[in-house]
Amino acid sequence: MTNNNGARSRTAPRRSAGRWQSTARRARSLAALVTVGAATLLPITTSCAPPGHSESTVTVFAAASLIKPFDEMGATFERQHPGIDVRFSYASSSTLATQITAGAPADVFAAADVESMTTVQALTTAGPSNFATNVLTVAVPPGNPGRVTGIRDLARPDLIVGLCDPSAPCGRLAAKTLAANGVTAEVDTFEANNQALFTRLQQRELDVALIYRSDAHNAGGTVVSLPRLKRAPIDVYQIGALDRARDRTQAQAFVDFTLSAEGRAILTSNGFGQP
Amino acid sequence: MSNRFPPPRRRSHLNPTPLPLTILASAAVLFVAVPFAGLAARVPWDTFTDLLGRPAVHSALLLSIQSAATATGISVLTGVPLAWILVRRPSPTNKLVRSLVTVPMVLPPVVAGAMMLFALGINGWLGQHLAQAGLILPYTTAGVIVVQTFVALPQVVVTAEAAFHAVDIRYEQAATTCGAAPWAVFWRIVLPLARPGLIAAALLAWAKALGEFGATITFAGNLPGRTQTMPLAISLALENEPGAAVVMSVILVVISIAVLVAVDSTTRRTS
Repeated sequence: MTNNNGARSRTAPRRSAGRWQSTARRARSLAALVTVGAATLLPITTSCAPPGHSESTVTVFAAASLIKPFDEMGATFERQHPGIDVRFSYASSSTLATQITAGAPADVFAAADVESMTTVQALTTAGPSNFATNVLTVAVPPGNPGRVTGIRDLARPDLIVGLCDPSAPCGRLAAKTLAANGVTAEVDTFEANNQALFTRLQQRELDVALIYRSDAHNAGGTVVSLPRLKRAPIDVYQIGALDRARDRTQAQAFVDFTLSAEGRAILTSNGFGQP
Repeated sequence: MSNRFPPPRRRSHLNPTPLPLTILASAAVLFVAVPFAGLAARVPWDTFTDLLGRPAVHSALLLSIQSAATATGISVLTGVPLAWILVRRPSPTNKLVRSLVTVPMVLPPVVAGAMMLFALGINGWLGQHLAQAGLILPYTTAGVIVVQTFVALPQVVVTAEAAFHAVDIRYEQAATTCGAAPWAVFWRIVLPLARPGLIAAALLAWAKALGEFGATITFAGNLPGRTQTMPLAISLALENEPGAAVVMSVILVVISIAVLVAVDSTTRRTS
């Protein structure tokens, strides 16, 4: 800094020294900015490749009612095909169908009813195959606090009755089952999927519910199911490999395994019927 | 020479916006704007009025608005006094109380729902006794209101605290020395001074109660007309009736914008 005479002021810092300080400061703040930016953006670059993604991962979208049998099948399949990793995404079939239609990266879809599969049928490689059946059963918490004796009790207003929501396969099946038995239920809650319904019943938050026979079968006493309904409409489960599968051979291999004798045995042992 | 200075004019050439800030800020705007554009693009204009007139949509909307209003009423009635006490009586105990009351704001909603179930469900800690007395909260509209109050109350407390902080204690002290009773001081001095902030508190709490989903579906269940609030209806409609889901989403977006505008105008009246 120079004063009016052009002579350098003695109190002003030397220009070169001041410049050097501000450069160092600038370099430090730039380094800080780069570090923060890298820390923020780096996880994004690594997550572009989904974790565990490799040619040998099969992603199976399966109905929530299939958790137990498919976990078993996944383990067996992985033992028989070393190097292939099977990952499952379980939810209500209608939720999964919506996700698949929206582009979710599934290789195989296993739906709890034909209607859910129909919405994505065009996206399957070959036509879907029937691989299991399920029916509903009237179930109560242990001790039967509501003194339920049959499906007709679902019409009782004094009971807390739960069903699946009609947007899910088990809800549609519930409507058919009630209609087939001529019962108009006094429903207190429509749960989003069979898992939610089963858990509510298990937690004794409901007096009675129409749950999948397979869920009752695996309940181990936490839920008590009434004798089989004489009129019980059946839901047919369908499975198919999707067009968008990363490795269609592997996806089809899992489908074939589900349809094999071993796969069917696992399903039957978990309370499912055979188509 | 005159001492009057003209009002300062904006001279942005004297403090220009750095380019990196502009770029980053634009990214922020895009991030938020794109989902709205996506929603607008999906609106089924031809069936819009049709879907709007659906009874399922009506019942969900009416239930949502009414339950949120009741929840806000309870939250304001209990939360405003609490906020006042927390502001004027700072103590370690009150600090704990404040933390407790604000936790639901950061709690994941489904955790809140699970907690309510464990506490007030039919087999819940308190719920089993209530059930024996005939008072069952899950699967009822009352249950919905309870859940919404759980999330709205912390919002009221936090916002009302801010409003009360802005009230100069000297007004109250002056009123007291003039012989006013404590209640009169609160009702006639403090409340009017804090009113815009309290209105904002109520509006924000109402919006929060209206949007409550995770805790509602976990605790109150889902029954059209009784416990199926708008967010629940939208979530289920996304599966079989995306058009209805879009229409209901648009309604909630419009309501949310209206709330924000209202809050903005009430808070602006203070300054």
